[in-house]
Amino acid sequence: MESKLFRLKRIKSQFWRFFPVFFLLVSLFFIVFSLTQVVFVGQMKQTTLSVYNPVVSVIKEPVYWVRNGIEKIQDWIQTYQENEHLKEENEELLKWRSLAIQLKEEQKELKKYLNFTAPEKTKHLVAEVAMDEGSAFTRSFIVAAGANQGVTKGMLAFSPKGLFARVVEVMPNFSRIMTLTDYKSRVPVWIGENKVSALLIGDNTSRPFLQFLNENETVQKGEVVMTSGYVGVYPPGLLIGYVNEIQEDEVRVQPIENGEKLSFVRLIDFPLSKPLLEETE
Amino acid sequence: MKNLLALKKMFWMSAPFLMGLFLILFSLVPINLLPYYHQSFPFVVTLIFYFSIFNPKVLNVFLVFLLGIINDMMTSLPLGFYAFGFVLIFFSISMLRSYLIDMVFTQLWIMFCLIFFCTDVIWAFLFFLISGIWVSTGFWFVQYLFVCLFFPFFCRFSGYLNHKIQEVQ
Repeated sequence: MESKLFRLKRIKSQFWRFFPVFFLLVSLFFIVFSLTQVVFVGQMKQTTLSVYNPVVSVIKEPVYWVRNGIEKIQDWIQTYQENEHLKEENEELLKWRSLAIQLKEEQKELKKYLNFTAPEKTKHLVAEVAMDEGSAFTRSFIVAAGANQGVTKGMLAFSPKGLFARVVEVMPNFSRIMTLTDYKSRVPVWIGENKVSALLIGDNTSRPFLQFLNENETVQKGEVVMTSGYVGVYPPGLLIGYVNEIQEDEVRVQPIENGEKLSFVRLIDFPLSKPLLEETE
Repeated sequence: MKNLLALKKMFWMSAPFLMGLFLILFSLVPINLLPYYHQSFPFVVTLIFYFSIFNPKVLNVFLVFLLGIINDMMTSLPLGFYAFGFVLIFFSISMLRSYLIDMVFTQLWIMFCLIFFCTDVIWAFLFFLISGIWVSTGFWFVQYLFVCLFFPFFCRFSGYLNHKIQEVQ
């Protein structure tokens, strides 16, 4: 009798010892489930995020307070250096301004000779960065503006430096934006003056790489990389970055903006560039 | 008075889970600890490690799994990705608990670095299976290093929590 009890106890203890294996299997099942049921899981996540966001907003207040303090001190230290730099930049910009005025006039004259239709005006809004889920595995943000504020899927996110992300998920009051460096990001691009076509692929590093480069065409280090507008997700001609590293089988691009240290982003809708293909993400 | 005591007990008993929840939410605040890249850190694994050794009843496997699912809910990664890693840590510790429980702090730290390294490698492999892309070694290592460096802080804090829990238990 005693030995039976002892055996039962042992079985029970072994069961509880290996009980986590059940949860490991459940986790694996969930992974497969979310890869197959993308829409359903996406909706579930959207609902949960709406609950979490107010909590994160409360947590981030003291963190921001400290961060702003540190940044202020850094700003004071850098003011003199920045002032010198700004003076130089201002001189350069004044030159460009006069050139721009000249070109504008020239363009006005030239338009008269063309059957030119101006593109539709773009819609844009500014949103606060609410959550930053950047890790070794993903590079995206949650911004505090959603469908209620006029955000639509496919809008492009800009920092003061330029394009760096795209809206991939829209909730009522929040949206998820995916940076160009995220592993899911695919951007058709042109490189340099010759407009060499390629696909810019994110891999969670700070420098995405180029794929499907034509073997007959060459690219040089420092050449400009801009959106080509193929497939229609991105309008053509938006600056993304510069060719940064050329190796035998890999070309890396340094984006003009990685999205770090951003408190606000500008979301712009380009009506002329609606996606032609539904994304599979 | 009795109700107050029960409430106090309930609070301290649920404190590890709530702390875990806080750490998950905190990791999403756009704080940018590093000067160049935005990156969040799964500090919650330190809490899971500590309580899996010293008080697995208050942060049991179900709660660990739940923490993982909550973390997954907030990221664009598939559901179950972080949950798998968290439960894996819990499971490996449950296998080694008899050795780990008698270890001094430095030994615990080394063991944490080892177990978290293995989990992080498995995460990277799982990520490769999902996306077909190997994670950037730089980002991966920075994430690993930061969590390991902050282990003593979170370990002390978890020790304090555990002490309070044992007082009310």
